[in-house]
Amino acid sequence: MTTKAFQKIYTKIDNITKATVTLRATGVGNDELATVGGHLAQVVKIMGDQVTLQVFEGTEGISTDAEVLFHGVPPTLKVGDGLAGRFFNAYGEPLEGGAPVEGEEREIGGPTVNPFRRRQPSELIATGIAGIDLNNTIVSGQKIPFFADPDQPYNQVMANVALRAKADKIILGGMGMTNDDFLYFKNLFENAGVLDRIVCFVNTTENPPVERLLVPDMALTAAEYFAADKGEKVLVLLTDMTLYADALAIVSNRMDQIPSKDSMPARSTRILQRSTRRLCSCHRVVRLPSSL
Amino acid sequence: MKTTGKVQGIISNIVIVRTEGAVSQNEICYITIGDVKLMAEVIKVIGKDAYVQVFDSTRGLKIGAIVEFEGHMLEATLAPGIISRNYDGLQNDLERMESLFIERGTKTDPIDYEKLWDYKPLAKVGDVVTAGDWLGEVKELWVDHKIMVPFVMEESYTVKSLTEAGQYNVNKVVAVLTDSKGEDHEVTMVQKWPVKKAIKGYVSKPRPSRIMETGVRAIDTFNPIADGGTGFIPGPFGAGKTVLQHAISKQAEADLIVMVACGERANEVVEIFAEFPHLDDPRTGHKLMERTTIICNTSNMPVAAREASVYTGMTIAEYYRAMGLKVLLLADSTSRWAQALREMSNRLEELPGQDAFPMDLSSIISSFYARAGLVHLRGGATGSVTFLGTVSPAGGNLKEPVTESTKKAARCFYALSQQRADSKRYPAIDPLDSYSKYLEYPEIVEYLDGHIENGWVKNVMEGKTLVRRGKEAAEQINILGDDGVPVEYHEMFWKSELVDFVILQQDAFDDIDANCPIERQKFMFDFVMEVCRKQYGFVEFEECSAFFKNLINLFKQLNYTVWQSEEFAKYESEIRSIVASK
Repeated sequence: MTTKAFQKIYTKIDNITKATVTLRATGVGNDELATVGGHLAQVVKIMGDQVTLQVFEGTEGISTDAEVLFHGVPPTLKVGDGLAGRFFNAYGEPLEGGAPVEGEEREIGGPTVNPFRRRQPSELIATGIAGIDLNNTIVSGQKIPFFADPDQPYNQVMANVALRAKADKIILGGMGMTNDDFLYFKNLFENAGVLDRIVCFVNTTENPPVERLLVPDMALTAAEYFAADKGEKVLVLLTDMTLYADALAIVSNRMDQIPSKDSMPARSTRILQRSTRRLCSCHRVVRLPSSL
Repeated sequence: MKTTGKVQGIISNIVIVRTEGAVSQNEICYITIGDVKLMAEVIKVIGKDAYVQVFDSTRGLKIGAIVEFEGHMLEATLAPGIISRNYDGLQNDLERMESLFIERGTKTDPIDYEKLWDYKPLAKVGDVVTAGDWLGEVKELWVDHKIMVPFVMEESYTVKSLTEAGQYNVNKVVAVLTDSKGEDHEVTMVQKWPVKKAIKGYVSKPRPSRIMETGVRAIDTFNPIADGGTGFIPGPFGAGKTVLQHAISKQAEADLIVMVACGERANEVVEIFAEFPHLDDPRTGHKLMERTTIICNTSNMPVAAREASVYTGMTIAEYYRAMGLKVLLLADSTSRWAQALREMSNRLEELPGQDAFPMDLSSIISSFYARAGLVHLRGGATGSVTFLGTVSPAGGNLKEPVTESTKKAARCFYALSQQRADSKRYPAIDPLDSYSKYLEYPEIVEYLDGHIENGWVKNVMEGKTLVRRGKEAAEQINILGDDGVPVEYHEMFWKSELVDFVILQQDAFDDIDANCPIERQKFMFDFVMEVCRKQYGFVEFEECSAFFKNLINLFKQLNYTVWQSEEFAKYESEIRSIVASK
């Protein structure tokens, strides 16, 4: 994301809401990334020359003369073997320092799998939990939601499933996870000696909620790389989808969209479905703690 | 001269286009982005601005992009070679897409334009014909695929010339027709039809007068669906909607099956892709895939194409109906389609109706269900489209708007109950909540009298009453305790359990029990009713359960045994002797 020499810098923002800014700009593509006063943002609406940007970190402290730079590309993730064993934030930047991952830059949320090219799921993933294995078997290539109340030990169950499943890679997408839970996962994976099989994209409760919107697509892009390009078995854990949906509602609300059912945006159903897009050889476990 | 326009605004997959000329509602247009073209449909026009819904991702689209309007609505291509294809919602052939991922803007031909077909003419020179009349036929797999006067040619025409029998591809002109003004029209084997309009081209649409066998006892015996009828299956998550639909698609007594996977999980479709080419159709001996066409817009594919997918499926079904075939259209699930409608309505900032669905949801659903039906064609043949949709009510709430609107439109209602699914009583069709309005049709009653046995519907009603009284008895027993009620209550309860276990429950994974032909259903139902009509005069309630548990076990063995085999006869006589001895 280096600044190109001929790039146009805008310095006049017309409107600022809690999550979005609107300004006049031309030649901007839909879904494109931008930087607003040093904060990362994404184009969510274009009306003539009025461009609306969703600022991931929130608009606190952004002034009407902040510098706005358009990157000309949608969010991407560099995929490569170097992803394994690393922890990233919602933008795909390594946490705890370390060198950025080298590899091919891929758009997140890209094209969908041709259903005709899928294989029929038939392989059991043994979790060692009788309630799952005997009654509600997880099959390789399936997606399974876990519904739970906040007082239930869902993260422990998911971590158990992750460790026992014979997957080559485990991708953890944490949305609105508490720092304690994040450290729980991290320590557990470290102690189990499986760090080299783990890729983590984490948005904790300390981070701005809107950033969460990037996490599922980041995790799935990495998963698709390992599954489709490398032919590995990948297990994806996304926790927790309710907080993800909350972030969608926040953005839609701040853009003055008409709320749909239960004040969720109308598109939430589709996004949830899309975010659980699966690959033929990719395991996936998704947690949806409340009924949606 | 095509109308063109420029992109003026983008809100997710709604694009606002400033047009330079006339556009019509629901017209198709293509938006150029780089070297691909994205298909879109006009859904609202305000002044010079057309609001279009894009059937693909609008990522990277910029203001000023060129838009070309096509001058027609979304159309299906109708020609030989549709059966056993796997399409997406816009009728792109998925099998022809080579890559694992579907790249944006990928288009493939719905049919093979090169393939040669054995054509022979059916009409004669000088015949007066109109839309839907048969001009010739080709052999598509095992189907006599009729080449018809295109449905758009609704006037009266005279056949001027016909091509001789021979091998041709679909673009061959097979007939020249002259209209009343003396102008000639060339007809090929391919025609196009806007999917949102119903195909007419038939003489009349009578009330359905016969039932369509599905091999599922809870449907055929208790709540049969008519050939040319409509029905729907609402059921909460995990209640077995898809397994039931798959069973019906395998066993139904139809010539062709069109399956629309609308917003469902892709793995469910993969099962059909993987299994159907190998399974035999028990009725004809052909492979199941040779009678099945799949339209697949799974949950991860573009949402706007979902609406298109159900219409494309219906159009294909209507096309084959016009050839005099019995077509069964299955859509899984119409709720996802309604969600797509809700999303669009929200984007257009329309005021929301109940549960934020658009206000016209009910009329959209009923006009769609109205396209099914039995038709008399010119020339005497009949064809039918039977439509069975599933609905996934959020949280299993059968009072939500999609279920309620569908209930008004469909004639059969197969309520899957969570309670039955939880107690592993499959198929989880609730015998008391479900209904079939066809049992009230005098035509159907007469048909069942003639084809099954005299007084069949009366017997079925008696069976339903038995189940209802059994449930009431069970509630009384629960409240008052086992010995707080008369023994007859226990007897009544166990008789209803017998009907439940033997008739209503069916093992979809057992080769024999999975598919129960109507003759066997008649035997089993009559047999069970015969046993239930007898008053046993138990003294202690404990006797009751032991007696009926034994009977249920034997009856279940009967269900798992080959029809009228020696073993079958053995179980039958064992049951009879037990019943007689008491």
